[in-house]
Amino acid sequence: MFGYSLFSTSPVRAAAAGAALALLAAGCSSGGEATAGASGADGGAPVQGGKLTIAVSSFQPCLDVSLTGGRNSTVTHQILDTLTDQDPKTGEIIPRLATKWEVNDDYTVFTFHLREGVTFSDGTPLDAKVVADNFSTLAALVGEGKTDTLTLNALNSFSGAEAVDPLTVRLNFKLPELGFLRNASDPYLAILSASTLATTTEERCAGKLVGTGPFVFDQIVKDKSITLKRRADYTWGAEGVVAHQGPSYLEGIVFEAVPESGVRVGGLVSGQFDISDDIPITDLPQLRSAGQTIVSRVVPNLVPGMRPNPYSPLGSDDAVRRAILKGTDRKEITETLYPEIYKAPTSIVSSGTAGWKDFGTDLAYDPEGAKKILDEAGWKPGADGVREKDGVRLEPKITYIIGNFFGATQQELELAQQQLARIGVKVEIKANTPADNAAMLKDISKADYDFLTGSGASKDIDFLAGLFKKSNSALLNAEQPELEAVADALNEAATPEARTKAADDLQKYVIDHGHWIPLREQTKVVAVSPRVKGYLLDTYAAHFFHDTWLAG
Amino acid sequence: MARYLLRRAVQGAFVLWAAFTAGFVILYLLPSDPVEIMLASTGSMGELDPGAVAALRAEYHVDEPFYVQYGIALWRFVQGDFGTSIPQRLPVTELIGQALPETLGLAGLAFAIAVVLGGGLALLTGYLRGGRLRWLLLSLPPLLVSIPSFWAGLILLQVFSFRLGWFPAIGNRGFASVVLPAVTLALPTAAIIAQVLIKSLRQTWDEAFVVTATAKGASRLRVLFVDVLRHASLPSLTLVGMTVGNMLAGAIVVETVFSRLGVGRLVEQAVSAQDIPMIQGLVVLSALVFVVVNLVVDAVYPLLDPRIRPSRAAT
Repeated sequence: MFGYSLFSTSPVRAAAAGAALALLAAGCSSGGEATAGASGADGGAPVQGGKLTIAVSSFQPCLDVSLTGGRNSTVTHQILDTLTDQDPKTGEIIPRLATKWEVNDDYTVFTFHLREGVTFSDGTPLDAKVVADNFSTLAALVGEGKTDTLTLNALNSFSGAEAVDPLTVRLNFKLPELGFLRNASDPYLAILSASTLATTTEERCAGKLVGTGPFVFDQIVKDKSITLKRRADYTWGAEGVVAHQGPSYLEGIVFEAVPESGVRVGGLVSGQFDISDDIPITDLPQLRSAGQTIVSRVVPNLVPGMRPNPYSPLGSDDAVRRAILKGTDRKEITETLYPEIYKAPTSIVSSGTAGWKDFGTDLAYDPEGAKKILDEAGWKPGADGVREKDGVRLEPKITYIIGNFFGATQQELELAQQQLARIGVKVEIKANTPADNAAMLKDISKADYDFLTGSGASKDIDFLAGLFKKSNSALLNAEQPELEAVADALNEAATPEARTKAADDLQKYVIDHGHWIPLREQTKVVAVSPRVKGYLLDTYAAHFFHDTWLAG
Repeated sequence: MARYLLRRAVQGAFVLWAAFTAGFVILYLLPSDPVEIMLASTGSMGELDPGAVAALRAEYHVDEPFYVQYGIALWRFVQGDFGTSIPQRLPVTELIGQALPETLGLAGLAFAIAVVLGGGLALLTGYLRGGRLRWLLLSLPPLLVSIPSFWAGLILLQVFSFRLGWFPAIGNRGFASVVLPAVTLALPTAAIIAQVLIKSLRQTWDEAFVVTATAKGASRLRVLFVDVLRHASLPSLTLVGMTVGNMLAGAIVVETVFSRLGVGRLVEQAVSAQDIPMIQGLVVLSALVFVVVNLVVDAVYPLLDPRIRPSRAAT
């Protein structure tokens, strides 16, 4: 499994493209305003009807996020529901299509009781059989290697599903799955109709998806626009998430792919769009002064950062990794490049991730400490200030993927390069295209890099284990027994307490030894016209339109 | 005449084959493996069972020696089959077929604007004998040709869409939405046409037959349109074949800035995803467009200038 956004799209299409393995996350809590014009609070009573136009930078290449794209669902989760949901404030798991559930003591058997009266948009009812078939079908696709990494992670140990009675479904796993209830709230485990399950993966990718969500696909023009219309009979919004029951206020939503960010900004200000997604930080002052609302939310993930190559001499040198971690000034990076909104990371996972713990002091900028580590390890400054040891110069090669905002960007690495030069580390920055990157990761033991950059989806801390076990292709079976042991401990934790401890230990170990060198948190930034009310970014930092309405 | 065209057509077919082969060789030499890229893009790299990888490799013939791969690809190419786009899993010809009308419409309008704008500019400077206006007009072509398309596009959007609201900023939504992109695409081409036409008009004014026409008492306007223009338009016509290439290249930028679907966007997507079958298809498409346009230009030459008309004896 991959912990990176290995694959993004062209520079022009850039962000949110989230192709392929882009394990960009989306998620809960903290930072900035996550809503625009809370309905009722301002602008009076919600108005029914109207079409909202939202400009996005691009669409995911496959509309079925369980197959590709994982959590990068711009559009699809508007038409789908999941078994569970997350409380937008507390992050607690709450009912959605399942009204309640039981979990056995080993966390291997999950019994869900389904809501009555829910129908798919093709008229068929939601029952235990179709839910069981959803998981069996997805597990079969996992076996064929046709799903996203997140789906694979969630269903790794799935052993079968059965309909106990028409509204009760039981899912069995071979290993304890402490994170499954949270996984069940993620768009890639959304419930599809029986007719969808019978189609091919190609058809599912093209948008032949039938769900129980508040909207349905009206028209899909590939790579261009997607139009949704509301379901008039939708009455099963998750309590605690939706602000109103019944059909959505909006008659329809038009998603337009607008690759050029300047056009997304100009189109919003001139009233051609109601919402513009993927807004560059540099455009925020202009948008604010034009009276637009900025909505932002921290994305829950393994934050964008650097991952050492365990096969390279520099990447496998503990002292070098620790010195680079201490010699990088994360505060300067966020304050210089992303004033306001963005915050410096306080762990390897973002503050919006369930299981996050504050390791801010361990990540503080400490150039003197970094120099000391290098001095003690025998890396002595040479004539030009660059450190050397046994004739080897301390010149790590760091790669990034061009146009991929989910990893480190060129500007971020250039700042880090200046910072690290001050402690005698001469960084060489290497730009990769997505294809270069895929080629590089084919066999990292032969690849010419010391650190690569990326991020990894981990709304729930469980995913961290997979990202740091040697089975991860960015580690390629490199023997790092201590790292393997702390990752295994998280995987094997059988109680919530053990899991919390294991998660803390893993974060601490990874930071102490520089197995992931965080650079910044990832924040989703959306600009919203003042006429849009009741719009918010949900716990996945994804658009939530059920309560949205258009004033005037 | 028919034999002349037939010969040009055979030469065109050769150009197509050469473009196909050059494209194939270059893509073959790339260090990447289409199957690896495809697996990376479906998110299952490293997790796939070897059997499935082998099946895909067989489907794309990546394990065959070079000449076998080339033979298979050439046989398909002759039948008009470019295979399946790797990320999109749809036939290349189908995807190009969907995108082509949009780009042809855009390029067609842009071409018309370029001819009117460039031709108009050249004729106006040709008509004027001097003065500040003429000097100003003469400086326009070098200026227009040096403005980058994406910048021109963004400026046009800023003024005519965001400020004045006359045209929509994005999309393939009828005539209104094609105006700004077509103007953007037309500007550099108009500049080139104007530049060349201005020069040949100026030279033609000094020709003996023009002096004769003027001496006979024809007005400057009549001489310009009847005698000078016809003679002076040949070099510009030659340019048309090349400007079509500019249009295709320009479409990549213009379609992105204006959020339009079309061949330009296909090129951009195919290159960034290393979608080898799609790139191959687009290379041949570009070659085809060049061949067809040059064939048309060749057929038009003799109509304008009897001297170019091939004699029966010669062919």
